[in-house]
Amino acid sequence: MVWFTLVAHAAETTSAGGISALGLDVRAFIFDVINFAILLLILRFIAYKPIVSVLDARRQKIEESLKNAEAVDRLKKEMEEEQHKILHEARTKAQEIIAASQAESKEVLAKAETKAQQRSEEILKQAEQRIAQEMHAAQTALKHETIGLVIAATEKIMNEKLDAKKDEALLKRALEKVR
Amino acid sequence: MKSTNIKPLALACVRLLGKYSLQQLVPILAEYLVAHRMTAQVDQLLQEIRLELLHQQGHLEADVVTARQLSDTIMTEIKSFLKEKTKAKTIDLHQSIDPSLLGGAIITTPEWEIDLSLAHTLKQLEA
Repeated sequence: MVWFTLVAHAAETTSAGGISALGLDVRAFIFDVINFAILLLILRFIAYKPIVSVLDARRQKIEESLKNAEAVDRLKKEMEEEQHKILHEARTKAQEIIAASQAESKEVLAKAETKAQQRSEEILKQAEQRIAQEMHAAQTALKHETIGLVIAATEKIMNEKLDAKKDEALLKRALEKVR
Repeated sequence: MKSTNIKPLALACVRLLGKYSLQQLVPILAEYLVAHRMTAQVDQLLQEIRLELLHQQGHLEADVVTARQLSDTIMTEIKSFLKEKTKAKTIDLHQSIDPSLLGGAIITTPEWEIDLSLAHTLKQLEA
């Protein structure tokens, strides 16, 4: 208060000089300056600090957000790279599988063809054997039938044509053979 | 009586044939066979007697079956053949007829049989 009084007095003493001649009230000016300083101090302690702290907090948050966004971007890039890598690997693997399956299918096909060929040859062989057997059986049957007919005919001819003389000649030859 | 006793009986018959005639021996043998229940073995006994006759006395009793009656010439031929084969001194041939033979003959001795018939030859063809 003392300081205020002194300032007011000084103002009064100077106001009587040249400045007051300009229409400027020095006392009011000082008083306004003091008031402004007091207001400034009050604002500094009451409003400025919380505002600054809020702003700081906000800035920090923004910085964090930016950092997070960068991290997210980086992660996204990594993820994309990883995804590309996985896709590439998957494609390579799929191609390998396809190639392997193609080779396998070719092998299976070749095996099936070989098996089919073998089976057909076997069937052919069996058929040939069966035909040969049937032919042999037919030949044997024909032979027997022919022989039967020959015998029957021979018997009939012998009964009719073979007389004692011829029979004796036949027997004589037979005896000579077994001697 | 067992069949193993056939051989001694046949041997005895052959020996007795030297002393007795066939007419005397046959009734005695028949009586013996009936008494000893050996009538079923007559054929076997006759075969043994024939065999013993061949071995002991060199006499061959052979059967010849033909399709028809054959001449003495061929019978002599058969006898000659049998002498060669059996070394018999004397031979009696018993001929019989079987038209189913068609031709040729079947000759049976106590030791073996040979089929020279036409029917047999044809059967061999069939086989």
